[in-house]
Amino acid sequence: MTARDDRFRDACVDAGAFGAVAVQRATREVIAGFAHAGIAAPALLDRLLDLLLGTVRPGGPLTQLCGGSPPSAARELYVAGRERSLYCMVLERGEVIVVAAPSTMSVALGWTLVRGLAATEHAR
Amino acid sequence: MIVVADRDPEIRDTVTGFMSARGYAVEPAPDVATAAGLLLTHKVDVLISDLALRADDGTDLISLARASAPTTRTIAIAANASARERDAALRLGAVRVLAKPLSLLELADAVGLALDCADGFHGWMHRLSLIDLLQMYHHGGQSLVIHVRGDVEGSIALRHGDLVHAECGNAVGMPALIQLLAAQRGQLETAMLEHTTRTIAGPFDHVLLDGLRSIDEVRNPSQSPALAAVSFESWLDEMTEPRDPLDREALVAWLADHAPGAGVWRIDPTAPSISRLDELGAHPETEMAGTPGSLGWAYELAELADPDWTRVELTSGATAIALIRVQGVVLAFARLVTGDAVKRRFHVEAAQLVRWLAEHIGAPR
Repeated sequence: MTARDDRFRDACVDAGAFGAVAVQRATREVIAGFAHAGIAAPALLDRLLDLLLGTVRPGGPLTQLCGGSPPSAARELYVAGRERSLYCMVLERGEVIVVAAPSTMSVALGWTLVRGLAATEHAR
Repeated sequence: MIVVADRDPEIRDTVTGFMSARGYAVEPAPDVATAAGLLLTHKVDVLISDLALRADDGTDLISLARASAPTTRTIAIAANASARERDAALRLGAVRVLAKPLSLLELADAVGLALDCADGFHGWMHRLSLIDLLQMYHHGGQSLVIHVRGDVEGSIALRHGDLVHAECGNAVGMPALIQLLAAQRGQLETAMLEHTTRTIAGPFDHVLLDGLRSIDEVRNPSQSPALAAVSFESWLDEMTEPRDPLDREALVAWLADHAPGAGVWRIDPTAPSISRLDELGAHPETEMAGTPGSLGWAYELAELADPDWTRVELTSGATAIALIRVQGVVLAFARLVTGDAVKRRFHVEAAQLVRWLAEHIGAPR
């Protein structure tokens, strides 16, 4: 467990999030994280990142109907489900931060947590 | 735990590595004795066994598993299994019989199904109609896919007991469901529900009744006298077709007051269709030119991340998009984000729209 893993754990525990992970955008290697097995199955997370980062072009019927793929990759994604919410942020330094939190958590707190985790690299 | 029992070390290693990478605890077993030992000493969830794997005394591992570890689900793999051996494996409770050379994706599906079968019964039934089966799974609130094979082939997906998707040939959604419901005979097989795009919307009873009515119309186009048909049809329409829960005029008025300059679309993923709601023209169309393509993208991401999503926010380039789903109504709300202040405003507007929809959808007018 690295110091950055510790910071992820502390931040998640303090904020009440389920887990968080920082993934290298190019290699999909997990750089740091806490309880990230519970965020999503590896295969699902891979597919999600593919679609989020534009590695795989979206091709669903609605996308086709809307005139095809989007012009640029995503920077931020927030998905609220019945029980949990997922926050994804693509950083300029080539990392993707993904956080899973209870849906009852305030969205503002969720994004504050993500930004805090994004800043942990510089805090070293 | 998953036990991989196969004499071939290459298959053992490949399957063990593949399943371990997917997060499962896996133990390889080169022979019946090792596998039997693991079955007796550990809680084995899934046994993946070569059909040809037998002990010196001819003991079959799948029979042994059935006797010694009845909660363990079995997947049989076979190089050249005869129909009789396959049948025997299925009768002994194997969830799937897979052929060698092994497709790892098929194996992953089979393991998922085996784990999904941990509770409840699985097996063979006959004289069961598709409608019976759909109603059973609806009442059980189940999430799964029913594959239909025979004269008509396709699949129907249920999520938490609701019909969410059907496909049959090139048709998807209601047209596909109607074709499948019209089938009189065939084979049915259930599988785990993967992430699927919703192509059918509405309460289960309405969808089913709508499908059966369509079949009836095709089968008996001129059966009843015109008057009876009209009165019956209007009654059925009244019973089955819910009025639009969204008061569009009220929404447009709210948008003009609370979120001028933003774009709002209504999405019907079942058609599929997308229509612009804010026809007041508060912003030039060209400003939002890149947005519609991103709406479908945001929807795909949401369905993949969480099929039960209620709200999605996506920032891409200079566009921020919120998708909001309340009681089956899906709206997309988008704004060009030119700075942090506009972005904060967008989040606030999206949250206000969620509240407005929650209060107004389905409210009496």
